[in-house]
Amino acid sequence: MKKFFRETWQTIREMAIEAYRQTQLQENGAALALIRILLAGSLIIQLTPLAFTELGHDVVAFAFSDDDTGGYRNLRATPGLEFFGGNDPDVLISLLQVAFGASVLLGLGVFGRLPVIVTAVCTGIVFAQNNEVSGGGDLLLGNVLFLVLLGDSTQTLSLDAKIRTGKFVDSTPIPAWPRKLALVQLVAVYTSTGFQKLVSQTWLPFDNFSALYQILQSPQWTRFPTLITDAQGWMLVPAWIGTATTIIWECSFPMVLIKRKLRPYYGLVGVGLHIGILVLMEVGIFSWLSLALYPSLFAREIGAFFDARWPAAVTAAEPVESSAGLDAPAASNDESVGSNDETSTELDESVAPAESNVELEAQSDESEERASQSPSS
Amino acid sequence: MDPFRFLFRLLGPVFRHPAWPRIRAAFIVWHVFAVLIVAFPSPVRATNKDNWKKPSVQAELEAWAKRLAWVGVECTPAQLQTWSQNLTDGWVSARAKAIYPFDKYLRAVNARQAWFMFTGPDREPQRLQITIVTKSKERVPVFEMGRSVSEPELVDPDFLDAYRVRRAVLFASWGRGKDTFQLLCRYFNKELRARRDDVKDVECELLQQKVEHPARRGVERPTKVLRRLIIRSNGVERLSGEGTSTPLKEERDRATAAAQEAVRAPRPSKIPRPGERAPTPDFVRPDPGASADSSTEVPEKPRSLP
Repeated sequence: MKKFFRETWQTIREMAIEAYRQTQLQENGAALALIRILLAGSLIIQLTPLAFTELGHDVVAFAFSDDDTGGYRNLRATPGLEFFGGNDPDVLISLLQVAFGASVLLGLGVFGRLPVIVTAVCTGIVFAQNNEVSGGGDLLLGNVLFLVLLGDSTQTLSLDAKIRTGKFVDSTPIPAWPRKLALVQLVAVYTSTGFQKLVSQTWLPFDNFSALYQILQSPQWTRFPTLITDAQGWMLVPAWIGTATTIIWECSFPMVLIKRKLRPYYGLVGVGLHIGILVLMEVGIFSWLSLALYPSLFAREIGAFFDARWPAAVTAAEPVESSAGLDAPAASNDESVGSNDETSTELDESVAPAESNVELEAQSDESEERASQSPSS
Repeated sequence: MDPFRFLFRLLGPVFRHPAWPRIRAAFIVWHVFAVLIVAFPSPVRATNKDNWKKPSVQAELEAWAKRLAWVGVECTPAQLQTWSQNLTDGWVSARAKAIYPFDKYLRAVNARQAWFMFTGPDREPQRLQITIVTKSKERVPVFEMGRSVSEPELVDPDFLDAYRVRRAVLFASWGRGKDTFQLLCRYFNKELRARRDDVKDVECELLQQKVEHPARRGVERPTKVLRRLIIRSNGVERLSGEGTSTPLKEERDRATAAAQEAVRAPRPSKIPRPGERAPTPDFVRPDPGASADSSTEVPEKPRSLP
């Protein structure tokens, strides 16, 4: 019994040490920057019609404002909305316009984390007004904004980088954990939704994988409600393949954490499925946001691409001039590419700092000054 | 150009503290645990009793009962429903306690996890249809959701296509969205009257039609009216159909016709002997719980009141 407890304790300890090591890893910031840019693009796609068109005004008034001011239900303003002027369509539209502006700044990568916070606050206030009309896309938006807020997403591919270094690309490594959290989030979304589908026989061979064939007839989701009936049966096979692929792909998505070499295949299928959803169904911003998280699958390849073309200005001997701060690595960027072992997992894809954080305390004051500028470090 | 530089400078001692990397590591582990535990599948929507009545859910229960019978577990869909409901209630209640701190944290950072997406197709989806009756008693169909918009100058088709509007109509068709159906009707009533002067009544209907199953292609799928709300020009509302105390006019007409048919039907020619079953008129539903010869039993004489 004693041996069992000792071994268990040893395993837990090793896992804790490994988890701690994971939080210290660093990598090229391009993957996180691409997530930021794609997130901004998704927001712009969603907010443009809502914030700047007459139809958008009608939809916002219908969905989020009170029935006295053009809404369909009696909605009391949340404290956040009350602060900005109450439940009025003009106030809601103004908030969405501010969110749009912040999204543009987010895409350009300027003002650090400020645009993320502004976008999160404005969209959060508006979309939280009426939960009857919100869906998975709104949930995912909150998650992605939080993850981008945690990381130093403007380190590269940003105006901030241009102002700081004179180039848009800055290959100085940043902490890898925010990008890894994005990957965990993607796995959680797909796996959770995949396993929930297993309660319905329509997603299983018992009912001939008929789920998509039936879902595409639902007027609330489909863009072409008569597509299935008009198709005279030729949609049977595509819908069958789509259903089988979706359920297998979603339920087995955690494999991307175990087998790195499978990631391109999972990524390719995912892009295909989301394009199919975008064409055939109306699910709001969900597909765009899911695709925005895909760079987290290919951080190593993206990092290698940027490192090869725009190598970091620092060498192994110099302290890294980065907001990465206390994790300042003394590793060359070539190492961030990692090994070419295709079966390697998420664990070995980033650069571990050469020195512990405590040891780094002794580094130059200048380095520490920069270090204190980032909460993610 | 980070405007929060002052904040980071202010918090600099915290980030420079030797314990900071460990605190950060603890936060990351906490966040990962929270996401994975809260995102773990949970049939939260199944705790709503109304959702079990949905045809799509009933069809699933029937299919699973057949599947279980095939592997030797005999149970009726009703038994399976009771068992599933109990299991669901227990699971959801235990999960709610287990995830409480994680859920609070995720809500606080607006990173909630509830990924119910197309768990099962709606086998009998519902469509909203709006018709106006003019003062000259002309019926003008305005739109049928997902089909056609007959009066695009009254309701913009792109408006009906918008994601948020679709969500509201979807919500109205679910069990707990009965009130939403009325709210949507009132909204369109207000909008249509503002755009057209000669509107007498606005009639909203929730139509229901089975989807085509790949194994049953070409089978006729009649559309039925599930719920109807008529809003008069004086604001009086008349709601009928499923989930209301008033049956639809069609149902009332059918019931009346059946009753008249029953009255016209010839009476039994002979009085059944003891032990013989009396013929049951087709409009009387036999009690499944009654014994085979219950019709011949002499009912207990009601006691007279003192």
